[in-house]
Formats: sequence, structure tokens, C-alpha cells
Amino acid sequence: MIIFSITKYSVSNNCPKYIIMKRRTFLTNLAILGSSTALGIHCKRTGDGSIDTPGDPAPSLQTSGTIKEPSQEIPIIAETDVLVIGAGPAGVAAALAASRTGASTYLVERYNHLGGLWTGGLVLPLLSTHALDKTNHFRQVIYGIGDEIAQNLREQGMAISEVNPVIDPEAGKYVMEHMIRESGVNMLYHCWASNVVVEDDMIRAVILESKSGRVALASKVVFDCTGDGDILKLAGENFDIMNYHIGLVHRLGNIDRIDRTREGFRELNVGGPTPIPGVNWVNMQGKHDQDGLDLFTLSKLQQEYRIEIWEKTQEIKSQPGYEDIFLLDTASQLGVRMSRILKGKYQLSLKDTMTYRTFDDSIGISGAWIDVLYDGRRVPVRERPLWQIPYRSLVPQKTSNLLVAGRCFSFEKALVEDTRIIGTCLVTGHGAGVAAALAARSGNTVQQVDIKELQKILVDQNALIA
Amino acid sequence: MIKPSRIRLVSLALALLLCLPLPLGVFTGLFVWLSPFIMLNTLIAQKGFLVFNLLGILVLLLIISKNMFFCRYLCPAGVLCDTASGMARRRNGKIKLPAFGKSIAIFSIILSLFGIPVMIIADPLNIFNAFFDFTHSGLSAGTLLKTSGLLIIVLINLFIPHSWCHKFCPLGGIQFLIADIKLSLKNKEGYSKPAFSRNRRYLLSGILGLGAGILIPRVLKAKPQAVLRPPGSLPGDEMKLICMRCGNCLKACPTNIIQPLTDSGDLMNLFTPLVSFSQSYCLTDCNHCGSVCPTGAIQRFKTEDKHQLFIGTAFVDPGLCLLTQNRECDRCRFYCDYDAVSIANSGNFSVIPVINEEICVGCGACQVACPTRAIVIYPLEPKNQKGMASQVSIS
Repeated sequence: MIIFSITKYSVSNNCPKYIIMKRRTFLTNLAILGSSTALGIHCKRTGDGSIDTPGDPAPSLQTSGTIKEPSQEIPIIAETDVLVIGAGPAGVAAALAASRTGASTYLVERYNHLGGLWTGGLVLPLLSTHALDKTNHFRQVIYGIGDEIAQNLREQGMAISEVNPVIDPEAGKYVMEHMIRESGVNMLYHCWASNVVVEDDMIRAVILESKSGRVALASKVVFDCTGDGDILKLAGENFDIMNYHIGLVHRLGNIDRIDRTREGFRELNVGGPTPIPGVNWVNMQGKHDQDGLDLFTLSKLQQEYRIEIWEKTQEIKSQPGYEDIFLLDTASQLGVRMSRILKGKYQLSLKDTMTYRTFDDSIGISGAWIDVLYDGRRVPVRERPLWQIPYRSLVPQKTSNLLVAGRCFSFEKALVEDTRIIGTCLVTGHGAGVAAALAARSGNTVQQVDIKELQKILVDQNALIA
Repeated sequence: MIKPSRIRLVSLALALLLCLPLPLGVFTGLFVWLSPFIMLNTLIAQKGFLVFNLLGILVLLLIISKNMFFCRYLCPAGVLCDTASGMARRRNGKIKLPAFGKSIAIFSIILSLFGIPVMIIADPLNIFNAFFDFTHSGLSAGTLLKTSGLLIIVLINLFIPHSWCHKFCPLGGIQFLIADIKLSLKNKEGYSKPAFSRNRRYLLSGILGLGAGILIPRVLKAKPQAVLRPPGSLPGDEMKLICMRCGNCLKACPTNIIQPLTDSGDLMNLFTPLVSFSQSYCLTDCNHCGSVCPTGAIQRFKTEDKHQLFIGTAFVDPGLCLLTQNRECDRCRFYCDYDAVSIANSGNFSVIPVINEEICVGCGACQVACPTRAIVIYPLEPKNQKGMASQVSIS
């Protein structure tokens, strides 16, 4: 078992300085120190990284086929109001919203870009931007930060079509980067949240694995925007698991040079257009019932898909008229569509979304992009109602400072096609971001956030909540 | 004491309410169950008992205790017939008609012994109930024919007052028979007067029923038609013979997928229930059609047994399926409540939905959900009708 003892540091001039140690923590440290010394496994090495890691551990092999990691002290590199894990659409919107509402904010990302699957996963369409309102008017429903990003991209010619726009991934990364930097969010790339420190149903700190070794961030409110619900699982919240199909998206170049006049030409699937002329994005259904939380599954699929995409492209190139096509890139993120789903304070249902159900604690509205079967009948996408997202569906059962935004918030599986998409992720991120800032400011739990104030601020920030 | 005619008006109102296509669920057309004629015939033909049959038995007991109880107090068709008879012009030369009712009743019950309760079509409650089909299926040549039953009996009464109720109605016939039997039993104790005077006619109807019972199945064994039937339906020929075309299942179906069969080449199949998946499909948690069927043509089933009740089976046209065009879609699999759809590799980098025909019940969800209409539910070949209603016990 891994035991962490947390000492608090504050950051000034990149030099961590010891300020306070809780009595309880201190006693724990003493106990650990005593026991590890007695066992002779306490090994101190001086690290040469930028952050000095006290008691750098030396794991030992166990006879049971496992490795025992000794206890160690992990530096807290910062204390913040809001800590967002995962910089996908939900994480970016949450960090921006929290920061704009006045909270000091950290955003943590394992890859090297903002936007997650939207940009790095090359899932380029911002879906569910529109839906039917009560007066039978097909209207835009995604507002707030999501709309701000879309508008920004549109102005640069980097988003095509009004309804469910398809964006350029690099432009998306740039626009979000710019917004994050301007808003003063502290950005941490290339690190992976590996554990949380929970005390009294409260996440005191999140431990990150990084090039600087294992570090911790202490925060008043923590966000799970991992998509996979990594943090809510670590915090001991209840969740469902949904295995779904996993794919890998790629882009093809020279689409504009397909020669349709060639003899023997036939139409092949070369994907859909992107804002860049001659470049198409090609979606992949991928294998069904895949466990997106399994290391070996992910590795195997990554390998298979990489080879499949290359060979498929070569096959297309060999067809008359397609000779100039080339594989521009494959996505840097595997397209895991679903994994964990929070069992939160409220589980949003398909019925809620099909009946214009209103919630007192609505934090946003999303739309639909696909036909559904409801009540035994097929409801075409153009007839689907807009739907409210209640704050309660982003709030976990017990942890008092955890919020969940993005595809792993609380909903029933029948709703998955509407909840796992970019539009909904952006809306949940924005709503929860403001709530986190309010909770951090007032010292309340996330369950006790003043809904009226939350909704007022959201409206001020151009979100559509009713 | 309330006048019987008053009670009958209340009964008419109630029957009307239950016949209309309201969201009554399993209570749709409940009034039909009151008929002891339908109850006796289906009980004999099906050799099985349905819970709502208790209503028919109750009415039968009331008839035994009080002569002509049904006609006096309950019959909604009787109200209309009497009104029509009242409006009929008085004729001097009365047309003398023999009373066929009792003979029809005997004929029908003997025929039912052979599993052919076909005469229940002429039950006044069924005629009344079927009339209101037009409220559900809209007006068409088919519905006009179905509704004509009530119009015909009203017309008969306009020309020959009280003729339907007294001379033809098989439900009336049953009641006359019971009254006769009661009388003859009573008379045995006292002085002997042969009340059962028309024994010869009864014998003749009985023999006719016997003959028809032996002959009809042979004549009908022509070509079994493969059509999509509601879950729990009796297979092929049995459906034709046992269904009394009351329209209860049509009205009770919450997703409106049951339609009367009208374009069949086989006249005996006319107006039997047919399933069509144009807009909706058969819900996993619904058993209304089986619950409202007064004849057991659609057998009563539990929703848990639906995975054994086959409507048909799904067929995927690979040429239309989005997956074969490397497009993203999993709607058929997503909406299959029975896990009968899997997405399999079909070589050459592409995938295709595969239907497990052992599991697929043909509920139609995939057909409705498919964005390109690549999936169609086909009826099962009569040969390999898996399971079918016979395997599921009547509850």
C-alpha cells in the first residue's frame, strides 16, 4: 500500500518553502518515518530535478508478484481555488469560467494541447449546437464559452457550417490556448493525475505524475474533466461503466485533387470536409464493446488502427482518380467514446431531454444531433427538444469539493449520444466552472452552492440556462 | 327499482368509452369480455382460461339466475336495435321468421370443439366493438366493411322490428337456450310438457357444426401465409379462425404498430392483426395486445417472456448500411433490447451488423432506428417458427 504524507508548500520564485504542517499529518509522518527506518527501506536520494523530492522512494520487489512502494513525501507545488484535471472541451470551459469568476485556477493536461478529443482526437464537429424550442423554432442552444470559441474560430474562417460547425484542430488549439492564457489560468501540460488525498469526504490534494517526479496540487475545489472519470473513481464515488466503440480519427490531404474523370472512378469514403481546403477528416467506427480503461486494450487498438489507417489509405490511393491522396495525420488521442459515468446527485434521463423538463438548478442547455427512439417512436433530430442540464447531475454523492463535467457526468446510458459530445461537454464545463469558483469563494461545499447566484453569473457570462 | 332500460343506457355509455381508442392499456375493449357467448366459445376452442373470462362467467351465472339478463341490462347493441325497431314502420303483414339464434349458438359451440370459434364474429358485443375501429384506423374500404356489422343489424331491425335480437343474435340464442333448459327442468318436477320441442332443429345444427368442424380445416389448409403478427399470436391458420376481428389489440397497442390486414389475397385472413414497423416498434415492456385479446388468438403473455415470442427476424441490407461505407453508426445495436445485434468485422477494414437470428424476436426497433432503412423485419418461415405462443404457458 502506498502511503503519502502531505506537507504544504507555497510557491514563490519556483522555490517551495515549508510553511505549515497539520498536527495529524505531522504525527503520520512521524509514524511512517519510524516504521520505515525500522524496516530499513527508507532510502534518501538527492534528486537532480527542478523540484526537490524528499525521500525519493526505492520500490522493492515482493514475493507476491507485486512491487511495494515505500512511503514518501510529495511536495505540494501550489495551493489554488480550483483545480481542473483534463483540458478537453469541458476542462477548458471549466477553467475559463472559474478563472473569470475570480478563482485562482490550475488546469492539468496529460497531452500537449487544449481541446482533448475535439482537437487532438480530431473529432472536429461541435455537435448539438441547435435544437427545437417550445415554440417549435429550431434555434441555437450552445452559448457561453462554447459559443465564444466557435465564434472566434468562425471569424478566422476556421469553422464551417452554422449548425454543428466543423473546426480546424490547430486553430481550435490556438484559440483555446489564447483564451486560457489571457484569463490567467495556470496551465500544466504533460502530467497525469494519479491519485487524490481525501480527508473527511474532501479532496485535499491531487497527486500528479510528471517529468519533475511526483508532485501534488492542493485545491479548494477539484474538477474531474478527465472524460474517463479517473478522479471521481479515486475519490471513491459511485459510477457506472459503459463499454463502447473506440476508434481513431485521421485526416486525408489532397482531397481537391481527386480526379473524377478517370476511367474506372468510383466514389469512396474519404470523410467529410474541414475548414482547410483539400483536407478531410475521416471518422472511424472502430471495435465495439471496448474497455477504454484497460491499458492493454488501448495499446492493442492503437497499434491495430495505426496500421489499418495507413493500409486503408494506400488502398484508396491505388484506386483510379485517388492517386494524390495522402494520409495527413492520425489523431494523437485514441477515440474513447465512453468509459465511466458518475452516479451523481441526479441522473439525467432521456425522458428529461425529450419533454422540455425544466430544472430549478439548470446550468445550461444542450441540443441534439441524432435521431432517437423514444416512447416506441423514432424522433428525427430536427424534431428533438432542447434540454436543460441540472447542476445536481454534475455533483457527486459525497465528496464535498468535487465537480464532474464532460462526458462522465451523471446520466442514464440511453442518453449517451447526447451527453458525450463536444457541445454538451462545453456547457457542463462552463456551468460547473462558475459553481466551483463560487464554492471556493464562499467556503461552501459544492452541494451547497447558491444556485440563484450561480445562474445569475452564468447569464452574465452569456450562457443560456432557460 | 331502476328500470332495466336505464341500466342499459349506462352500460351503453360504458361500452362506448371502452371501445374508443383511449389510452386504456389492458382495459381497452374490456366490455367484450362480458359476453358469455364469446367466453364459452373461446374457452372451448382454446381449452384455456384467461383472467378476464371471469367477467363472462359472472354474466353467465347472472343469466342462469335471471332469464335474459344480458339483453335486459347490459347489451349496448340491443339499445341501438330497439331504437331502430321503434323507428321501424309498422307493417301489417308480419314476416314470419324462425328463431335461428339458438341454432347458431349450438352450431357455434360444436364448431368450437374443433378449435374454430368463428361464429363469435356475430356476437353483438364484437359487432359493436368492431364498429368503433374507424375511430382508430381512419376511414377506408376495409374499415367500412368492418363497421358494416352494426349498420347491418340496425338495418335489419328497421325493416323487421326486433328481428336481430329475437331471431339471429347468438348471444340471445344462448340465453334462450338457458331459459328453455331451466323451464324443462322445472317442468319435470311438475306436469310434463315438452319445452324442448325443437329438438330436431338443434340436432341438425349440431350435426352441421360437426361437419363444418371436420371440413373447414381441410379447405383452409391451402397456403400458410407468412405475415408479421403481434407477439404471442397463434400461428398461421389458427389465427384466421380464432381471431374475431374485435380490434382490441389495434387500439390497445401503445405504439400503434398493429394494423388490420386488408391487402391479403386470402379472404379468411382479412382484418386479422398485422404488425408494421413504419414509425414505431414493439416495446419490450408491453403486453397489452395479449391482455386485451378476448379470444386468445394473441395469447396472454408476460413481458419477461417476450424474448421467446417471435414476430419475425431482422435482415440487414449491406448495400445500404452506413457501416459498410465506413461511416459511423451503431443505432441497430444500441437500440436492440435483446442483444441480438453485434458488429462484426467483414474483412477489408469494414464492419457490418450481424443479427443473431436465435435471439432476434423481430421487435422492429432496429428497423425504426436505422438511418438508412437498411434493416427490415421479415416474417419467419412457417417451418421454423421458433418458439411461438404454444411454448409460453397461458397465464
